[in-house]
Amino acid sequence: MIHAEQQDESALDSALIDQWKAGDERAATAIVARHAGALARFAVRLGAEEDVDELVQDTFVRAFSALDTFRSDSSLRTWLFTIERRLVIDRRRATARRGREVDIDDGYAATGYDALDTLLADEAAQRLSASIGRLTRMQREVFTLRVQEGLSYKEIADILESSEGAARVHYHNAMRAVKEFLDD
Amino acid sequence: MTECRTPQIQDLLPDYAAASLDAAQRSVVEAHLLTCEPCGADLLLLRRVRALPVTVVEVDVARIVAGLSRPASRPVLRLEPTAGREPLARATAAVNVSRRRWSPSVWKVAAAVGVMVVGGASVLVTRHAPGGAVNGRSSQAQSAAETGSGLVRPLTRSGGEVASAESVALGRTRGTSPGRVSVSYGDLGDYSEAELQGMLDRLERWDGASSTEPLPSLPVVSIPGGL
Repeated sequence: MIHAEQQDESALDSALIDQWKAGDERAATAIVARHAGALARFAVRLGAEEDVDELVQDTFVRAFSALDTFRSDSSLRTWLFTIERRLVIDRRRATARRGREVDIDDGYAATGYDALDTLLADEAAQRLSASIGRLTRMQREVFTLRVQEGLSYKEIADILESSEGAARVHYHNAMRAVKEFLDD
Repeated sequence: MTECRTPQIQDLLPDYAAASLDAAQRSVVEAHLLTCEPCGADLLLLRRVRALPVTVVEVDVARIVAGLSRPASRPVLRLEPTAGREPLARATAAVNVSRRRWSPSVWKVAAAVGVMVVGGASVLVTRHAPGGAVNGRSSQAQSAAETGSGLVRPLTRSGGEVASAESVALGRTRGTSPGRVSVSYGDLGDYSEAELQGMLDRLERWDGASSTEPLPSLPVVSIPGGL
């Protein structure tokens, strides 16, 4: 698959990173502005809508403190998603240790789709949103990254620290499950 | 409705829905969609998913940027042609202020200075040691003992005999005969500014003796409690 647009985006990110490393702080503003929205959406889809702002900020803080280790093997956005997802998992584990939540890695959990249900006037859209919300956490992450963020299986595998094959299987299972939920 | 048996096309459908395929792949998918009803239904579903309104979250970009660590500036070395260690001390201070980790260039400069000093000391030992090694004391050591200055410092043994301690940072002990000279590999910080400058001056006056020349044997004597 050829994604010329993605290559242009990656080149722009690389240029901004170089500028920031050279001391141009305006480049940091440009980088944050380019990716903050996507990180916020991803946070909501991960079920962390209550502290999205803090989560996005922590993601950037961690990313910028480790920017020297970013080798452009993946896109900057993929790398940021990976960091954000790890932060979410860490927080879930911390919460689970405090006994507030048992579910850590999979299973149903409240997501942005639940809140969205009540806002959608269109019944079909409500049902669709509810169907996505019923996916397992892994299926939902893969499905939304693939369909709504337009990421490749390779990029999804990087974010989920899994394999391309596993990402593909999760996507197809999610697709099948959504159709079954809609048929219920 | 039966399932599509063309997984390659199914894999491409999300990209087709996102309009991110190139022309050739788009044509392949469109040709398949003309004959595959399940894939047509899947594409409709994908487009509905993409059309779902996203939760809008306001992110304060300025606040996020304000919380980021500043980019580390490059350390600036100010090596000035003055005597003593002051220039290096200044350079080190500049590095410490600007960032925690030293950049490779700083280490290269430090390594170069080290090589120059060690090389100079080795050359001095090489050029002055042979004749004086007979009695277990290099001529340089003897000279230093007599003048009380220079590269080699005299050490007084318990019996009142003077032994030279060649404090050479990466030097090699040549010979193991029970002589009277202890060769230690001490710290260059043992030397004064004047001594270090003297070493560098001698190095500058060095006429280029080949490093392939056989090295003199330095008799070594063990000193209780010494290196």
